[in-house]
Amino acid sequence: MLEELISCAGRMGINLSDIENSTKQKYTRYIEKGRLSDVKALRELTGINLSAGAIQRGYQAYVREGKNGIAYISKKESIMQ
Amino acid sequence: MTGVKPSDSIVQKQYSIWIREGVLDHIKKLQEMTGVKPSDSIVQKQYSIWIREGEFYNIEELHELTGVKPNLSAGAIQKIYNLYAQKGFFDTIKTLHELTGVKPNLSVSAIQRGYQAYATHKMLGWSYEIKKIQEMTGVKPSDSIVQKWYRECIQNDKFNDTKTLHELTGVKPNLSAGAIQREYQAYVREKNFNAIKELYKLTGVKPNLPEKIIEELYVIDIKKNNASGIKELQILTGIAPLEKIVQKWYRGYIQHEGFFGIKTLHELTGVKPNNYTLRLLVKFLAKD
Repeated sequence: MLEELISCAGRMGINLSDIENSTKQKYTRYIEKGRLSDVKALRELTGINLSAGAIQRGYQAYVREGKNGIAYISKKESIMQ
Repeated sequence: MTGVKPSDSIVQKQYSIWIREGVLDHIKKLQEMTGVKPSDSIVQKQYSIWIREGEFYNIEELHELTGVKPNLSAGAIQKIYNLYAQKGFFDTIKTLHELTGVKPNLSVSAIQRGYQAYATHKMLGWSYEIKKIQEMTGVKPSDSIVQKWYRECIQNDKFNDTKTLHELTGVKPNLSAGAIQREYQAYVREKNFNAIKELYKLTGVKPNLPEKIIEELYVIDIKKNNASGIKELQILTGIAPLEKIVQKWYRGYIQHEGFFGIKTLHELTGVKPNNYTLRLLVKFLAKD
Protein backbone atom coordinates (compact mmCIF):
# COMPACT_ATOMS: atom_id res chain seq x y z
CA MET A 1 0.00 0.00 0.00
CA LEU A 2 3.02 2.26 0.59
CA GLU A 3 3.85 2.53 -3.10
CA GLU A 4 0.27 3.42 -3.96
CA LEU A 5 0.29 6.11 -1.26
CA ILE A 6 3.52 7.69 -2.55
CA SER A 7 2.29 7.64 -6.12
CA CYS A 8 -1.10 9.09 -5.11
CA ALA A 9 0.60 11.88 -3.14
CA GLY A 10 2.72 12.65 -6.24
CA ARG A 11 -0.40 12.86 -8.42
CA MET A 12 -2.03 15.17 -5.87
CA GLY A 13 1.06 17.40 -5.78
CA ILE A 14 1.63 16.79 -2.06
CA ASN A 15 5.24 16.75 -0.87
CA LEU A 16 6.34 13.61 0.95
CA SER A 17 8.11 15.80 3.50
CA ASP A 18 4.72 17.30 4.44
CA ILE A 19 3.36 13.81 5.02
CA GLU A 20 6.48 12.89 7.01
CA ASN A 21 6.23 15.92 9.30
CA SER A 22 2.54 15.52 9.89
CA THR A 23 2.88 11.76 10.46
CA LYS A 24 5.56 12.32 13.09
CA GLN A 25 3.23 14.73 14.88
CA LYS A 26 0.53 12.08 14.77
CA TYR A 27 2.95 9.54 16.28
CA THR A 28 3.57 11.88 19.20
CA ARG A 29 -0.14 12.41 19.72
CA TYR A 30 -0.99 8.71 19.55
CA ILE A 31 1.89 7.72 21.85
CA GLU A 32 0.69 10.22 24.42
CA LYS A 33 -2.77 8.69 24.21
CA GLY A 34 -1.39 5.17 24.50
CA ARG A 35 -2.63 4.24 21.00
CA LEU A 36 0.43 2.18 20.17
CA SER A 37 -1.31 -0.18 17.77
CA ASP A 38 -2.26 2.82 15.63
CA VAL A 39 1.35 4.03 15.76
CA LYS A 40 2.56 0.66 14.53
CA ALA A 41 -0.06 0.49 11.78
CA LEU A 42 0.69 4.05 10.62
CA ARG A 43 4.37 3.26 10.56
CA GLU A 44 3.74 0.22 8.40
CA LEU A 45 1.43 2.21 6.14
CA THR A 46 3.77 5.14 5.56
CA GLY A 47 7.20 3.61 6.16
CA ILE A 48 8.03 6.67 8.26
CA ASN A 49 10.05 5.94 11.40
CA LEU A 50 9.42 7.48 14.80
CA SER A 51 11.86 10.14 15.95
CA ALA A 52 13.85 9.51 19.11
CA GLY A 53 12.22 12.68 20.49
CA ALA A 54 8.70 11.24 20.06
CA ILE A 55 9.66 8.08 21.92
CA GLN A 56 11.24 10.04 24.78
CA ARG A 57 8.18 12.29 25.02
CA GLY A 58 6.08 9.15 25.20
CA TYR A 59 8.16 7.85 28.10
CA GLN A 60 7.82 11.20 29.86
CA ALA A 61 4.04 11.14 29.43
CA TYR A 62 3.75 7.58 30.73
CA VAL A 63 6.00 8.27 33.71
CA ARG A 64 4.03 11.43 34.50
CA GLU A 65 0.70 9.62 34.33
CA GLY A 66 1.98 6.41 35.84
CA LYS A 67 0.96 4.40 32.77
CA ASN A 68 2.47 1.00 32.33
CA GLY A 69 3.12 1.33 28.61
CA ILE A 70 6.84 1.92 29.14
CA ALA A 71 7.84 -1.68 28.63
CA TYR A 72 5.60 -1.84 25.59
CA ILE A 73 6.98 1.27 23.89
CA SER A 74 10.50 0.14 24.74
CA LYS A 75 9.86 -3.04 22.83
CA LYS A 76 8.32 -1.04 20.00
CA GLU A 77 11.36 1.24 19.90
CA SER A 78 13.53 -1.59 18.70
CA ILE A 79 10.95 -2.51 16.09
CA MET A 80 10.44 0.99 14.83
CA GLN A 81 13.89 2.49 14.85
CA MET B 1 -49.63 -26.54 90.07
CA THR B 2 -52.01 -29.50 90.63
CA GLY B 3 -49.45 -32.27 90.51
CA VAL B 4 -51.77 -34.12 88.08
CA LYS B 5 -50.21 -35.09 84.78
CA PRO B 6 -52.21 -34.79 81.55
CA SER B 7 -53.52 -38.14 80.35
CA ASP B 8 -51.60 -39.96 77.61
CA SER B 9 -54.48 -39.60 75.18
CA ILE B 10 -54.51 -35.80 75.60
CA VAL B 11 -50.74 -35.67 75.09
CA GLN B 12 -50.92 -37.90 71.99
CA LYS B 13 -53.74 -35.78 70.57
CA GLN B 14 -51.58 -32.68 71.01
CA TYR B 15 -48.59 -34.44 69.42
CA SER B 16 -50.76 -35.40 66.51
CA ILE B 17 -51.83 -31.76 65.95
CA TRP B 18 -48.30 -30.39 66.21
CA ILE B 19 -46.84 -33.07 63.97
CA ARG B 20 -49.55 -32.52 61.36
CA GLU B 21 -48.91 -28.78 61.42
CA GLY B 22 -45.11 -29.24 61.40
CA VAL B 23 -44.76 -27.41 64.76
CA LEU B 24 -42.04 -29.70 65.96
CA ASP B 25 -40.23 -27.49 68.47
CA HIS B 26 -42.98 -27.87 71.10
CA ILE B 27 -42.79 -31.68 71.00
CA LYS B 28 -39.48 -31.86 72.83
CA LYS B 29 -40.77 -29.70 75.70
CA LEU B 30 -43.94 -31.73 76.09
CA GLN B 31 -41.93 -34.95 75.96
CA GLU B 32 -39.66 -33.71 78.72
CA MET B 33 -42.62 -32.50 80.78
CA THR B 34 -44.74 -35.61 80.49
CA GLY B 35 -42.20 -38.34 79.75
CA VAL B 36 -44.59 -39.51 77.00
CA LYS B 37 -43.25 -39.96 73.46
CA PRO B 38 -45.36 -39.47 70.36
CA SER B 39 -46.81 -42.84 69.39
CA ASP B 40 -45.28 -44.77 66.50
CA SER B 41 -48.56 -44.77 64.61
CA ILE B 42 -48.86 -40.95 64.68
CA VAL B 43 -45.25 -40.55 63.58
CA GLN B 44 -45.44 -43.20 60.83
CA LYS B 45 -48.69 -41.75 59.48
CA GLN B 46 -47.07 -38.34 59.15
CA TYR B 47 -43.89 -39.83 57.64
CA SER B 48 -45.89 -41.37 54.84
CA ILE B 49 -47.61 -38.02 54.12
CA TRP B 50 -44.28 -36.15 54.12
CA ILE B 51 -42.62 -38.78 51.95
CA ARG B 52 -45.39 -38.39 49.37
CA GLU B 53 -44.90 -34.61 49.50
CA GLY B 54 -41.09 -34.78 49.54
CA GLU B 55 -40.90 -32.94 52.91
CA PHE B 56 -37.77 -34.69 54.07
CA TYR B 57 -36.50 -31.94 56.30
CA ASN B 58 -39.42 -32.52 58.67
CA ILE B 59 -38.88 -36.29 58.59
CA GLU B 60 -35.28 -35.88 59.64
CA GLU B 61 -36.25 -33.53 62.44
CA LEU B 62 -39.04 -35.74 63.73
CA HIS B 63 -36.76 -38.76 63.53
CA GLU B 64 -34.22 -36.98 65.70
CA LEU B 65 -36.92 -35.95 68.17
CA THR B 66 -38.67 -39.29 68.49
CA GLY B 67 -36.09 -41.84 67.43
CA VAL B 68 -38.81 -43.46 65.26
CA LYS B 69 -37.47 -44.59 61.86
CA PRO B 70 -39.69 -44.38 58.79
CA ASN B 71 -41.22 -47.79 58.48
CA LEU B 72 -42.06 -48.26 54.82
CA SER B 73 -41.77 -51.50 52.94
CA ALA B 74 -38.82 -51.67 50.56
CA GLY B 75 -41.29 -52.05 47.69
CA ALA B 76 -43.14 -48.87 48.67
CA ILE B 77 -39.86 -46.96 48.90
CA GLN B 78 -38.79 -48.20 45.44
CA LYS B 79 -42.12 -47.06 44.06
CA ILE B 80 -41.55 -43.61 45.58
CA TYR B 81 -37.96 -43.51 44.24
CA ASN B 82 -39.20 -44.19 40.74
CA LEU B 83 -41.89 -41.54 41.02
CA TYR B 84 -39.27 -39.00 42.03
CA ALA B 85 -36.97 -40.12 39.22
CA GLN B 86 -39.71 -39.54 36.65
CA LYS B 87 -40.09 -35.98 37.91
CA GLY B 88 -36.34 -35.38 37.82
CA PHE B 89 -36.10 -35.10 41.63
CA PHE B 90 -32.87 -36.99 42.01
CA ASP B 91 -31.74 -35.01 45.04
CA THR B 92 -34.88 -36.12 46.84
CA ILE B 93 -34.08 -39.74 46.04
CA LYS B 94 -30.69 -39.28 47.62
CA THR B 95 -32.20 -37.82 50.79
CA LEU B 96 -34.77 -40.61 51.07
CA HIS B 97 -32.01 -43.14 50.55
CA GLU B 98 -30.07 -41.64 53.43
CA LEU B 99 -33.17 -41.67 55.61
CA THR B 100 -34.32 -45.18 54.91
CA GLY B 101 -31.09 -46.94 54.04
CA VAL B 102 -32.94 -48.63 51.15
CA LYS B 103 -30.80 -48.60 47.99
CA PRO B 104 -32.66 -47.08 45.05
CA ASN B 105 -33.38 -49.48 42.22
CA LEU B 106 -34.50 -47.13 39.48
CA SER B 107 -35.95 -48.31 36.19
CA VAL B 108 -34.25 -47.03 33.03
CA SER B 109 -37.53 -45.64 31.77
CA ALA B 110 -38.03 -43.63 35.00
CA ILE B 111 -34.49 -42.24 34.69
CA GLN B 112 -35.06 -41.31 31.05
CA ARG B 113 -38.30 -39.59 31.99
CA GLY B 114 -36.36 -37.71 34.65
CA TYR B 115 -33.86 -36.55 32.03
CA GLN B 116 -36.78 -35.65 29.82
CA ALA B 117 -38.15 -33.44 32.61
CA TYR B 118 -34.97 -31.37 32.41
CA ALA B 119 -35.36 -31.05 28.65
CA THR B 120 -39.03 -30.13 28.84
CA HIS B 121 -38.94 -27.62 31.63
CA LYS B 122 -35.69 -26.00 30.48
CA MET B 123 -34.35 -26.49 34.00
CA LEU B 124 -31.14 -24.57 33.90
CA GLY B 125 -28.03 -25.66 35.58
CA TRP B 126 -28.86 -28.85 33.71
CA SER B 127 -25.29 -29.70 32.82
CA TYR B 128 -24.56 -30.13 36.51
CA GLU B 129 -27.77 -32.14 36.93
CA ILE B 130 -27.03 -34.43 33.97
CA LYS B 131 -23.62 -35.17 35.39
CA LYS B 132 -25.11 -35.89 38.79
CA ILE B 133 -27.84 -38.16 37.42
CA GLN B 134 -25.34 -40.02 35.26
CA GLU B 135 -23.06 -40.57 38.23
CA MET B 136 -25.92 -41.60 40.47
CA THR B 137 -27.67 -43.98 38.10
CA GLY B 138 -24.98 -44.99 35.62
CA VAL B 139 -27.58 -44.39 32.89
CA LYS B 140 -26.90 -41.84 30.14
CA PRO B 141 -29.71 -39.78 28.64
CA SER B 142 -31.10 -41.27 25.45
CA ASP B 143 -30.00 -39.88 22.09
CA SER B 144 -33.43 -38.40 21.42
CA ILE B 145 -33.33 -36.43 24.69
CA VAL B 146 -29.80 -35.21 24.00
CA GLN B 147 -30.88 -34.08 20.53
CA LYS B 148 -33.79 -32.24 22.08
CA TRP B 149 -31.34 -30.42 24.40
CA TYR B 150 -29.15 -29.57 21.44
CA ARG B 151 -32.13 -27.99 19.71
CA GLU B 152 -32.94 -26.02 22.87
CA CYS B 153 -29.34 -24.78 23.08
CA ILE B 154 -29.19 -23.83 19.40
CA GLN B 155 -32.53 -22.06 19.47
CA ASN B 156 -31.47 -20.07 22.50
CA ASP B 157 -27.95 -19.22 21.29
CA LYS B 158 -26.31 -21.24 24.07
CA PHE B 159 -23.42 -22.71 22.15
CA ASN B 160 -21.22 -23.10 25.19
CA ASP B 161 -23.83 -25.46 26.57
CA THR B 162 -23.65 -27.59 23.41
CA LYS B 163 -19.95 -28.16 24.10
CA THR B 164 -20.73 -29.21 27.68
CA LEU B 165 -23.51 -31.47 26.43
CA HIS B 166 -21.16 -33.18 24.02
CA GLU B 167 -18.53 -33.65 26.71
CA LEU B 168 -21.08 -35.06 29.13
CA THR B 169 -22.94 -37.41 26.83
CA GLY B 170 -20.53 -38.11 23.98
CA VAL B 171 -23.50 -37.67 21.64
CA LYS B 172 -22.98 -35.40 18.62
CA PRO B 173 -25.69 -33.04 17.45
CA ASN B 174 -27.70 -34.54 14.64
CA LEU B 175 -29.82 -31.87 13.05
CA SER B 176 -31.42 -32.13 9.64
CA ALA B 177 -30.06 -29.83 6.92
CA GLY B 178 -33.44 -28.10 6.81
CA ALA B 179 -33.46 -27.48 10.55
CA ILE B 180 -29.94 -26.03 10.43
CA GLN B 181 -30.87 -23.68 7.57
CA ARG B 182 -33.98 -22.59 9.49
CA GLU B 183 -31.78 -21.76 12.48
CA TYR B 184 -29.44 -19.75 10.23
CA GLN B 185 -32.40 -17.79 8.91
CA ALA B 186 -33.59 -17.11 12.46
CA TYR B 187 -30.14 -15.82 13.40
CA VAL B 188 -30.09 -13.59 10.34
CA ARG B 189 -33.44 -12.13 11.38
CA GLU B 190 -31.94 -11.45 14.82
CA LYS B 191 -28.75 -10.11 13.18
CA ASN B 192 -26.90 -12.56 15.39
CA PHE B 193 -23.62 -12.92 13.56
CA ASN B 194 -21.83 -14.83 16.31
CA ALA B 195 -24.56 -17.47 16.47
CA ILE B 196 -24.16 -18.05 12.72
CA LYS B 197 -20.45 -18.66 13.20
CA GLU B 198 -21.05 -20.94 16.16
CA LEU B 199 -23.71 -22.98 14.38
CA TYR B 200 -21.34 -23.54 11.48
CA LYS B 201 -18.58 -24.62 13.86
CA LEU B 202 -20.98 -27.01 15.57
CA THR B 203 -22.56 -28.58 12.49
CA GLY B 204 -20.06 -28.01 9.69
CA VAL B 205 -23.04 -27.15 7.46
CA LYS B 206 -22.65 -23.90 5.55
CA PRO B 207 -25.48 -21.41 5.58
CA ASN B 208 -27.38 -21.09 2.36
CA LEU B 209 -28.14 -17.40 2.47
CA PRO B 210 -28.76 -14.80 -0.25
CA GLU B 211 -25.74 -12.63 -1.13
CA LYS B 212 -27.54 -9.51 0.01
CA ILE B 213 -27.93 -10.97 3.50
CA ILE B 214 -24.27 -12.05 3.60
CA GLU B 215 -23.20 -8.51 2.75
CA GLU B 216 -25.38 -7.26 5.60
CA LEU B 217 -23.60 -9.71 7.88
CA TYR B 218 -20.25 -8.22 6.86
CA VAL B 219 -21.51 -4.79 7.83
CA ILE B 220 -22.71 -6.15 11.19
CA ASP B 221 -19.36 -7.82 11.78
CA ILE B 222 -17.40 -4.68 10.97
CA LYS B 223 -19.67 -2.58 13.19
CA LYS B 224 -19.98 -4.95 16.12
CA ASN B 225 -16.83 -7.05 16.08
CA ASN B 226 -14.27 -4.74 14.48
CA ALA B 227 -14.18 -6.97 11.40
CA SER B 228 -12.84 -9.91 13.37
CA GLY B 229 -15.21 -12.34 11.68
CA ILE B 230 -14.61 -11.28 8.06
CA LYS B 231 -12.32 -14.17 7.21
CA GLU B 232 -14.59 -16.74 8.83
CA LEU B 233 -17.62 -15.33 7.07
CA GLN B 234 -15.79 -15.49 3.76
CA ILE B 235 -14.90 -19.16 4.33
CA LEU B 236 -18.39 -19.90 5.56
CA THR B 237 -20.24 -18.38 2.64
CA GLY B 238 -17.67 -18.37 -0.15
CA ILE B 239 -18.70 -14.76 -0.76
CA ALA B 240 -16.26 -11.89 -0.26
CA PRO B 241 -17.43 -8.59 1.19
CA LEU B 242 -18.44 -6.09 -1.49
CA GLU B 243 -15.61 -3.73 -2.32
CA LYS B 244 -17.82 -0.73 -1.75
CA ILE B 245 -18.43 -1.87 1.84
CA VAL B 246 -14.69 -2.24 2.49
CA GLN B 247 -13.98 1.18 0.95
CA LYS B 248 -16.69 2.72 3.09
CA TRP B 249 -15.10 1.27 6.19
CA TYR B 250 -11.64 2.43 5.15
CA ARG B 251 -13.05 5.92 4.92
CA GLY B 252 -14.65 5.54 8.35
CA TYR B 253 -11.32 4.48 9.83
CA ILE B 254 -9.49 7.39 8.15
CA GLN B 255 -12.03 9.82 9.60
CA HIS B 256 -11.48 8.41 13.08
CA GLU B 257 -7.70 8.02 12.67
CA GLY B 258 -8.03 4.29 13.14
CA PHE B 259 -4.88 3.13 11.37
CA PHE B 260 -4.89 -0.21 13.08
CA GLY B 261 -8.37 -0.75 11.65
CA ILE B 262 -7.15 0.11 8.14
CA LYS B 263 -4.29 -2.35 8.44
CA THR B 264 -6.54 -5.12 9.81
CA LEU B 265 -9.23 -4.58 7.18
CA HIS B 266 -6.63 -4.73 4.44
CA GLU B 267 -5.08 -7.92 5.81
CA LEU B 268 -8.45 -9.59 6.27
CA THR B 269 -10.06 -8.69 2.97
CA GLY B 270 -7.08 -8.24 0.67
CA VAL B 271 -8.99 -5.27 -0.79
CA LYS B 272 -6.77 -2.22 -1.35
CA PRO B 273 -8.05 1.30 -0.84
CA ASN B 274 -9.31 2.63 -4.20
CA ASN B 275 -8.16 5.94 -5.71
CA TYR B 276 -10.81 7.96 -3.94
CA THR B 277 -9.99 6.39 -0.56
CA LEU B 278 -6.23 6.78 -1.19
CA ARG B 279 -6.68 10.46 -1.92
CA LEU B 280 -8.56 10.90 1.35
CA LEU B 281 -5.82 9.02 3.17
CA VAL B 282 -3.03 11.12 1.62
CA LYS B 283 -4.93 14.33 2.42
CA PHE B 284 -5.38 13.18 6.00
CA LEU B 285 -1.72 12.15 6.33
CA ALA B 286 -0.51 15.51 5.05
CA LYS B 287 -2.78 17.34 7.49
CA ASP B 288 -1.44 18.22 10.95
